Amino acid sequence: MRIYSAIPFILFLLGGCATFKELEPAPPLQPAERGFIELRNDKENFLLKKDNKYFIKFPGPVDVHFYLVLQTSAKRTVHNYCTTTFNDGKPPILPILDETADQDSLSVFAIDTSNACYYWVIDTVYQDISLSIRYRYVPQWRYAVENKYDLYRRILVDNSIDRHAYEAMGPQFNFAAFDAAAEQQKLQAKNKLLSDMNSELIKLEKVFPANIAASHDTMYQRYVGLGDDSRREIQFQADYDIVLSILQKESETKGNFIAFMNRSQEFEQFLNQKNRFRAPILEYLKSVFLRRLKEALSSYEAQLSGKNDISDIELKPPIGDVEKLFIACGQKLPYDLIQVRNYVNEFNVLATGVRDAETTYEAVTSAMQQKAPWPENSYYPELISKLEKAKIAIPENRLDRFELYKSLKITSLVSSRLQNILLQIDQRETQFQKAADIVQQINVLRLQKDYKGIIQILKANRDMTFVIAHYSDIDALLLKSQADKIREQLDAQDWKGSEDGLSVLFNDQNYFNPSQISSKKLQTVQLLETDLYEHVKSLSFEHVDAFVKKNEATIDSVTALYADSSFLPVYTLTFSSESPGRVTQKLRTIQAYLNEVKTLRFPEAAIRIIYRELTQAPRDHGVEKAHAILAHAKFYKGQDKSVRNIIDECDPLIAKPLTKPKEYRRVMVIPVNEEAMSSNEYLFRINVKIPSEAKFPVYDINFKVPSAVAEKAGKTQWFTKILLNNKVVKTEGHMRITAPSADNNYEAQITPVEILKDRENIIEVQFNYPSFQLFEVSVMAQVPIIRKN
Amino acid sequence: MKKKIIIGAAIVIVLAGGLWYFLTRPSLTDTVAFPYIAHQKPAIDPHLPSSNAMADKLDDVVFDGLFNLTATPSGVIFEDGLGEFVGIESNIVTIHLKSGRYWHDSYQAFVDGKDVTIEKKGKHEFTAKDLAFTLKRIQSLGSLSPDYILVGQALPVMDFEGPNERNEIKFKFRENRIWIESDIKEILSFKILPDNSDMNALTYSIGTTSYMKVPDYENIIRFFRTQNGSAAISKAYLIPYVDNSTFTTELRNGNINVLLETPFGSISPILQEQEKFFVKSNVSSTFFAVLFNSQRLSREQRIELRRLLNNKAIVDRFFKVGTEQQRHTIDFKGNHDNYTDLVNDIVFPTSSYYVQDTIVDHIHDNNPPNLSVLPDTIRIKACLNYGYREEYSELIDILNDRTITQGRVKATAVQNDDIKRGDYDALLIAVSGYRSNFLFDLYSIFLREPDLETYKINLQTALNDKGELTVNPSSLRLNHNFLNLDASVNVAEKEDINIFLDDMYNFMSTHEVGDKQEYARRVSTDEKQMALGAWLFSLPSLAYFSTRLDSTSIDLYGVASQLSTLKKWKEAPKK
Repeated sequence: MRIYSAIPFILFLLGGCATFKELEPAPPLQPAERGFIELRNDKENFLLKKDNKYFIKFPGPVDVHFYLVLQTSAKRTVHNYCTTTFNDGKPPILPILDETADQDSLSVFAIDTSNACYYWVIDTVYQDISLSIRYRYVPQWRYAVENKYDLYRRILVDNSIDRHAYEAMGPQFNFAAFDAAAEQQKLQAKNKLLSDMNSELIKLEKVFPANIAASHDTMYQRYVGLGDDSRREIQFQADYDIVLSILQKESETKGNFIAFMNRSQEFEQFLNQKNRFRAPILEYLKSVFLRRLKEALSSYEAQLSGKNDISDIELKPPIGDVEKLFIACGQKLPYDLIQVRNYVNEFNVLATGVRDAETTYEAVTSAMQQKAPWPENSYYPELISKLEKAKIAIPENRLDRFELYKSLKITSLVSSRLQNILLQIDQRETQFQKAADIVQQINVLRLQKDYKGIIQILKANRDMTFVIAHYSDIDALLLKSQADKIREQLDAQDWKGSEDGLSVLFNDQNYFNPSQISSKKLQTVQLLETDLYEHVKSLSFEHVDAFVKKNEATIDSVTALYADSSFLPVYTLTFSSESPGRVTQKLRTIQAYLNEVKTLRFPEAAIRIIYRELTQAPRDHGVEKAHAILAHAKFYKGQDKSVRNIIDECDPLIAKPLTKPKEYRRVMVIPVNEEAMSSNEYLFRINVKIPSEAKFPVYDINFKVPSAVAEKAGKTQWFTKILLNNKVVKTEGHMRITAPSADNNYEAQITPVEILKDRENIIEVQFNYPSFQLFEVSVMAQVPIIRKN
Repeated sequence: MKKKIIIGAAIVIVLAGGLWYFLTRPSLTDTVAFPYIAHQKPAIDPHLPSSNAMADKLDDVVFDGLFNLTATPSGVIFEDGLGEFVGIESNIVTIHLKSGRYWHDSYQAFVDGKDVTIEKKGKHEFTAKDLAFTLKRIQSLGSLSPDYILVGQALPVMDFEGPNERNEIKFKFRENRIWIESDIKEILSFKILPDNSDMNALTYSIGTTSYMKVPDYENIIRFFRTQNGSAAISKAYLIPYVDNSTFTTELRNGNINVLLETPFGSISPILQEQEKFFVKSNVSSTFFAVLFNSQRLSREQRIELRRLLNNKAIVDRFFKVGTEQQRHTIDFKGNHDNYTDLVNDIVFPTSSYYVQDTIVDHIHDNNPPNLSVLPDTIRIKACLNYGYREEYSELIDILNDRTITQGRVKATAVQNDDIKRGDYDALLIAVSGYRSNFLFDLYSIFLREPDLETYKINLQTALNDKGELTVNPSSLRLNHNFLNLDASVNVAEKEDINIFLDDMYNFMSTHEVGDKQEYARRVSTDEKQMALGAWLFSLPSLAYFSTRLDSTSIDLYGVASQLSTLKKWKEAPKK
């Protein structure tokens, strides 16, 4: 309970520990526009203690653009500032600039309505003092005018110009004694100060209240009067300044007509402001300008005499500017200047025509040299037309009319160039006409693809090099046409025709430039030769591949298949651009593939397919399939182990390897006799090659005999002979042959079969059977064991 | 009167003696009693052949294999022993090891004179460890053990995986054949020893069968049925006798009730009473041979001596063929008096697989002996103290008969020391317990230490450069084999001796049938050329039983051990 009651006391103590103490004036502060008001603490000054800190909260003004003005003798005895935000001296503090910082007892702070209050903060009191302070809320314009009106008025007086000189200027005025430059310098210095003051007045206008014009505020009326006086003086100074400038600019260009004419536009404008400047001044300056314009003719004649090319004449200053200044001064352009202007115009037109004709001639010549391939019939006529047009466009030479200027260099130069270009155009037109005829003939032959005819025309006009240049590819085209024809024959599989064409092409020398085309021709021949070879090769390959595909499963007349023409090339090549040996080599390559198909791929594929079908359906033509495989095998020269295994499987005379113990191996048994007989002979051979640790291995050999063969084994011997390494095996001594029967699942056994280690051990079983069919026998070998019993 | 008194007293004495005899003779009720030569106690080793035929037979009495080869009326079968066949997949054979099969040391025999009481002592149960120990032992014995050959042909590594939680083990069999169940059981029919056994003990007696060995009583070797045993008859006795001359009489007198080998292997005239005795024949397992001392006889002399010893004539004389005293025989196939079939011309007996299946040629040398080559007197000696006394005596007489050996032989009976010293030109010896199957034992003939009291095979092996085990020539050393073969001494025959030794070792050590056959041929050829002995003849195997035993319960067949069915034997129902 006690601890809770202590909390308000603790908060009070903490509150009492604030750094700044607020001074709360009585009566409260009034923000309305008034004069200075004493800021008191119940009619007394606030007492400020040394090292203590204080602040006073001032309410915001009633309108924008106000000043808070504080007048106090304590400004320098305490450290103070005004801020828009304040929190016991903690940041942020945004101090407002004191616009009278240089004054000891007055502080002026710009305030507005954006803040509800402002803080005047005393953060340092150097000694105990009684704070005597007055405050005032005042619009900023008023404060300015109140404080600066007298100053502005004094500036205006001090910087006004003495107008006596200006008023005296005219034909009678002694300009020679007048220093316009010094006068202008003085004027500009005063005008600067006056303009600055005027700028401040204009700036002050922006902070006037909106309705001030309608009021009768005395201070405002004084401001308006001051402004009018200032503007009038500034306008006078501007006019006077222009006059002083014109006088100086004319004076500066004496002896330099072009420099004078460079300012002719300013002079012209000045003369045209008759209401702005006094008339005597204008009259004086016209007389000065006319005197200077007399320098024009000599200036122009010097320029014409000095020119030595036929480019356009550009006079300086332009004769038009001279004419305008004459008019501004109240006079027309003189006759001799008009003659100058006419000569220049006539020369420029003629020179342009000559230059254009020369340009056209050059362009046509350039076009001729561009070697445009295979021009149309219109190509040269169009060039001729261009030359004609250029010739016509050249104007008549009338410069002879200007006697004064006949002797000018440029007059004779332009005439000479004119004659020369006309002659050149005539010569070119003649050449082009001949070329146009040749082109026309060639274009007719071109449509017929008669490249040899074109070559004949070109050979007849070898001197027309620029024409021949159009047909630089004629030999290539002839070569291409010949090659295309051969290619067509190739596509049509006309092997003989294409090979003959190749031979002709190889030996042909009827080209425009045979030596130049020879390497490309040879290259083409070789390419076509390769194409011919590739065609013959690929078609031969396709034929044989198709034959293989068609016959790989055939089981009848297999031997006859190998005599088929598919195993020969579709055409026997005879020509080679290289050597006869190369032909042989190509034929050998083709034949090699065919032979490979014949001796490898065909038998290999057929053997695999027929064997697959055989194993899938051994009872369906099994013997014929096996015989077919053996027929293929006669032609097979490959060493593929799996294929060889298949052949071995089907060949009754090949012993089937038995390489693993205890695993039954299937053996196909087919008749040895080719054709069916009343009693067909069967045999199968097994080669026992089972790895063994024994030095003298022996095995039990088990045969699962077909039930059809074995079912009578109890009455008659099912086999005719059993051989082990060509020795007859009999049931005698330790050798036993167990008969197959239904009881033992038709499994016969020979035991013990003594094997020659690491050598061939062929067991051959022969039997006869009435039907001509394929049998399957399973054979297994396993080691016998030593028994107690 | 005096005469009457004397006669009466004699009658009283006889009656008293008879009464004493009947009261004191051992009772054979619930007992199978066999005779044995008292000084030839059988040393039982289930993995090694023994010179004592009885010892080999007792293997089946004491020990079980995973499967046991046993005879039935239809032939031999492989019964479950300590294992059960589960299956085979990809040559991995799974065998379930039976639980609840206890070793004999799990029982204690309390002996009170001739009475024995068996009580359970503990639970020493058969486990896979015992099997592992046994395989390790077989491996270590190598070619000395027939089991090594049998197991080695199936297991490339003599080990197994397991057992798993079902007490199943897995053997990885070779992949060279399709193993069928009967083959697998045959391979795994070796006898199993407990893993706490001595690896090289002279005899083993702790097995798992129905019969356990208990302490001897007055030299009677006794096997009693255990509490868990399933044998029909509770006791099996081996009764000691001096030699085999009285065996027939003892059977007749009821002192024994089984006689596994009769003297001469012939039908006994005194056991013809079929109401008292029945007979069963078996394949021969004993042959007589004369082994030549190579230090005393040259090869030429040995060849001529072999020709001199006409085994056909000796057999006829031995069985007194054509006389009133002819000893009649019957073989296991039921053939009577087929004496010719008993004649052995080569080291492999005629009854053996190698001759029966004509793996080796069995051709009699009909050339007459060249006596000029032979010494004046050839001293053939025999020791009669280690069985077959009757047969030896008869043969000594025959060999001394001038009509048989043309007066060039002097055969005598000697003590074992003479044999040990090699003091003979040739040695007449009975080789017993031979196997007619693939596992015919050549070591027992050619490498046996010449000491009939013990059975020691002098086989020395070494690794060659290829890491293969080969036989060391020191296996044949002077005075350490019956023939006194020693390549270092018999310089003239050095090469042949070494070849012969190699061929013999290869024959004995291979597990390949083909190799076995080929080396059999080679050994036979080698031996023929070297003339190491005269192989005389085999003795028929004929067993007599008292009709107190039920004949229908006793099956003897082929090569199965005669005692493989002992536990099935029963007493005949009392009439």
